[in-house]
Amino acid sequence: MAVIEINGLQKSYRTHRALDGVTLTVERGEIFGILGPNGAGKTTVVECASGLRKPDGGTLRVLGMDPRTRRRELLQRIGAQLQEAALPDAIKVGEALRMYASFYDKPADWRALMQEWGLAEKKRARFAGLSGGWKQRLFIALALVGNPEVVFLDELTTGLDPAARRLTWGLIRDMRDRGVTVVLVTHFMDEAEALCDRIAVIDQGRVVHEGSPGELIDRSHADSLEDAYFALIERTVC
Amino acid sequence: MLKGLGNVIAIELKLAVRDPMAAFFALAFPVVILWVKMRNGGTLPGGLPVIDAVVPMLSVFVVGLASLVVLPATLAQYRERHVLKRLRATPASSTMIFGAQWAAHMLLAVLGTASPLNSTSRAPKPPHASIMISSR
Repeated sequence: MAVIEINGLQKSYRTHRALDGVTLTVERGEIFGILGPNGAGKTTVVECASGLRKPDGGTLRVLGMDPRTRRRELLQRIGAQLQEAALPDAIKVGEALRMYASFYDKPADWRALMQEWGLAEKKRARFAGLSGGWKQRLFIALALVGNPEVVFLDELTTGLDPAARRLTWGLIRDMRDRGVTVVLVTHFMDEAEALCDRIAVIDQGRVVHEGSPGELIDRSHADSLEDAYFALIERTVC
Repeated sequence: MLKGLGNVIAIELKLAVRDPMAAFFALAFPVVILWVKMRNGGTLPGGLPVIDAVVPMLSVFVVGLASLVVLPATLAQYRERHVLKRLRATPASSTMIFGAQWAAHMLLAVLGTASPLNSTSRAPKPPHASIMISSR
């Protein structure tokens, strides 16, 4: 069953056309990767699907709901980790989790979540004092605190050291194994190859490929996903 | 919803008190000024008790500070640093968030107004000042 159905999605910022008819489908229980160069429209897709932006045209259904008309209802059932998002400097890890849990009708037990994601030792640490890896871990926990069915992760591992990235990959797989559908925006080909069941490559506001990483490699007769990706992007640029 | 509101007010009040600038000017500064004003005796030349002249001034200062300086600065910083954007991706309504912000800063003003009153009613000197408070 499709969890996210996007058809011909359009979005312009003033004169810039960010999305020019994006069409893609995310199935329940998969890790779906969104790849593409900077400015391709990846974040805009995620922000439209999580109700943060209103698209100009096309149809969009998340869990069968239109984020434009049933935003509040939808937000009860999805979680998001946003690019560049932050918390107040002085808030403590435990306070942030408790506060975010209070926003949802049926939240997860935030104390259990804190234990599971290894944040218990940082419960009294302030947000500003956390390292990049701990901040991302907290953002994952905050995305999960509402017991969501779908989680959007926008460039979750950007800026993490290699060890923290690998650790995060394990956490994302754990999420999927618990039945959560994960939409992952990333710039890392190794990450997409290791984690994603299916990917969409977006370039200049359009989906130029949708399928499994293996399919993309086969289609381009390339050796790796990275080569296949560049072959695809170059073709569309020409 | 109310549970969420109480939570946010409590956390925002804690955050305001943890901010060194806000905490100093809202809570400590009025006590310091009151102490400086009352060092030289408890009455003004015209016979008006110093405390009657200073406490209203300090109260206005604290209420103004909380509502016109700390609250807008906090909201501006939250917007600039995408704290509000993250909150928009939750079911929390923006009315609730702003209401909680307002309530937390009004509570900060209440604490700031209470702190000089509290310190004068307890302070042993100057003696006549505390007598005046207790005589009312």
